[in-house]
Amino acid sequence: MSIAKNKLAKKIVPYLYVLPIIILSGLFLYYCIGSTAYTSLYEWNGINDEIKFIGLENYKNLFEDKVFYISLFNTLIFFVFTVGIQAMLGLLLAVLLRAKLRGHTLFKSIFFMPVVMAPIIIASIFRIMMDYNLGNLNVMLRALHLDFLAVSWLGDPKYSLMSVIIVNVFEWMGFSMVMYYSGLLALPDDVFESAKIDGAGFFNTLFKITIPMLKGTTSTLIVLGIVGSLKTFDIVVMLTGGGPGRSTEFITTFLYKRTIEEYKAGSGAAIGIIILIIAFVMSIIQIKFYESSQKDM
Amino acid sequence: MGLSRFKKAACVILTAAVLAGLLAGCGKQAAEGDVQSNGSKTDDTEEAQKTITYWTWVPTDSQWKLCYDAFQKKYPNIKVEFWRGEKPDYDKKLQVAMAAGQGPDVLGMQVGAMLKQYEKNLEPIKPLADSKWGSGWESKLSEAATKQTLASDGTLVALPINFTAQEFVIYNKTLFDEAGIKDVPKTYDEWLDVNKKLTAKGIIPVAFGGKDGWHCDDLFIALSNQFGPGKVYEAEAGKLSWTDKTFVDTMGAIKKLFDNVFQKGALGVATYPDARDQYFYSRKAAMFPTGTWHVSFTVAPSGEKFGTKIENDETGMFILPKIGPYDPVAIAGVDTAIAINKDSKNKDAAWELFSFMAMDEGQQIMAETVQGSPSRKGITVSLDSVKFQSEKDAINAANKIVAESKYKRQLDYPELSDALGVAVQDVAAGKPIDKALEELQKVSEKIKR
Repeated sequence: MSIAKNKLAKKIVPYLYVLPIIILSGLFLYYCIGSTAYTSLYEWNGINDEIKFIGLENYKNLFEDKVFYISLFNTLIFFVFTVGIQAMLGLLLAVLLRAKLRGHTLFKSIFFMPVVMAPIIIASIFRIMMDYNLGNLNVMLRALHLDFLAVSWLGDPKYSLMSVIIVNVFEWMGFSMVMYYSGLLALPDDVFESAKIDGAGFFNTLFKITIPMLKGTTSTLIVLGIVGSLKTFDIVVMLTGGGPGRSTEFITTFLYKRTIEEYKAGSGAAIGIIILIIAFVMSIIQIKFYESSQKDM
Repeated sequence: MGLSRFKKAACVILTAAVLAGLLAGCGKQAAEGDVQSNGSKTDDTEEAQKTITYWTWVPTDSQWKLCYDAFQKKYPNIKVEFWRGEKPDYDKKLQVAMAAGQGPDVLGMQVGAMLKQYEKNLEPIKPLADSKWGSGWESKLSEAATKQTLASDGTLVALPINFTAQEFVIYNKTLFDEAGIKDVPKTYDEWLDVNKKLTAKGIIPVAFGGKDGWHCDDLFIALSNQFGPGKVYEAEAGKLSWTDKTFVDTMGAIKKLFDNVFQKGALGVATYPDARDQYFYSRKAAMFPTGTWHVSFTVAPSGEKFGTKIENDETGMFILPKIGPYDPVAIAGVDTAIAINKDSKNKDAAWELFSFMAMDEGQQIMAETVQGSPSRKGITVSLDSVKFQSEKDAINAANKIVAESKYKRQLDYPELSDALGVAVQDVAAGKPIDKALEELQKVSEKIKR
């Protein structure tokens, strides 16, 4: 009898361990996702109880809306450039820091500081710095007789998206640096010593040893970058508001405008579900890609 | 064996703790007296004391203090829990709260698109007003007060606290004097001339907040009445195409303003705080296009001007110069209205605050702060705390213009407002005018009117 009880207990205990997180994620995650999906099937202004079932019409209207595609495109460009540039700069910094030059601890803290600052503060500061007439950036460029580089960073559609990307890279580069730094510390030293003995220089070591061995970290950063890009809202609103025109309209600012400014909560919910599906699919693709590349190795 | 028992106990305790934490959040509200579903509280032990909630973006905190001090003297048994945020923050907070049935008793409301969305959540005002104020109360308010605060079915659901008008230009007269400019510009060519003189002195002539869709809308609507008076409202109603020549000419004028009059990079500058703080209040720019609500900045001691680099400068205001064939006109409207939540459990107390702000002493207090023009007739403002005659003239002119204006400021359809702002920015950034207006027309055609 007691053996049977023990067996039963052993089966139940693991479930009891995960029960708290299931309850929490069920309530705050899956219930909310379900509720959003439900709302996306209705025409609702988000305020009163007049709610009308319209099926998939919100989705149909979105797929016929040019602004939806513009916002997706801008978000994709943002993702590609921010993840790429952040990864490159983060890796470079991590490799330099690993060399443990004088002051490396201080520099590590300095590079990581923007990660812990509130995005609103970073965006507010950059908004002032990037002003065409009075911002420090253009004032400095003009002082160096580089007037041709003093553009309207936030007010010209040619440069506005790039400016948002620059601010985001500044904010999150330190995170990539720390991830790569941790990855580098976990790599065996004898591999690098052997490479050195064989005469491999800095760039050969970097491209043929370091980067391939940090594939896992890169994959993680890409997945986080996908999710982060699809969530980016605060810096866009603070810097450009989605403009000029639609040049920095992101899928998140589009969702906000639909739901809050246009009082179309049903349509906003549909955008939310689409964001979720995109994040899910892209993450799966990235993980599968990484796993298959691991198998090849 | 002992470890296994410990694990089991740990699981049970952990799960119980998490559940207790979740349930405690639900139970906490029930424990704090008798909480009403609309967010206000009544305390059974002090029946005479009523507490209501009032959320809005105007009055500002300093204005509210003046209002509340006077309100409390009159109604010591009514406590008001006031919350104020910037309009975008207020929009978000209000929408979520009202959807959850947790909205305030009394709320600030903007006419146009916002009022149309909330109209079913608001208490009809006329029955209350008739019983409390008696017949003929409408004659005490300006005509627009009761016209712009109607729901779609004609029910009066709010009343204004103040009126404002667009598009105006606040200017630094001291900087004008330093640049040898005697008169404010009345035409586009005069404006170019004024700008040239200011630029020669190293002063940025105009700081326009082109980043803001709402300001682009105001500029377009005001300017369009110089090319085709009233036509923008026909287009709003779907009776005229947005590709009409009136609007092509309007956009042409807007392009000229962005290219030759406003500061470079205007599309990247927000009206508040950047154009105001970084440019105008920092004495870097001499002119600041904005609405009549801004004339309050000269009223001492709480006016925004004080504590800035222009606090000792003389300022003034003029209407957007003539660029089209018709004279410039102001587009005016209710700036902030006040309404009662239909689901309020304290409607009597809510009515007292509503009445105070919309009809009684609150009107005089708000008029003295010059946060727009009063909706109640016969209110005069002392202006003793305003230093310069040009600033007094600006305030008096603003009140007169608002009272006489025939054209409304806000569009009724939020998607149209959004698309119009984008179209203006697109044209300013170099997009062909016909393309921008075609896209605007496509948005207009999809609106269910």
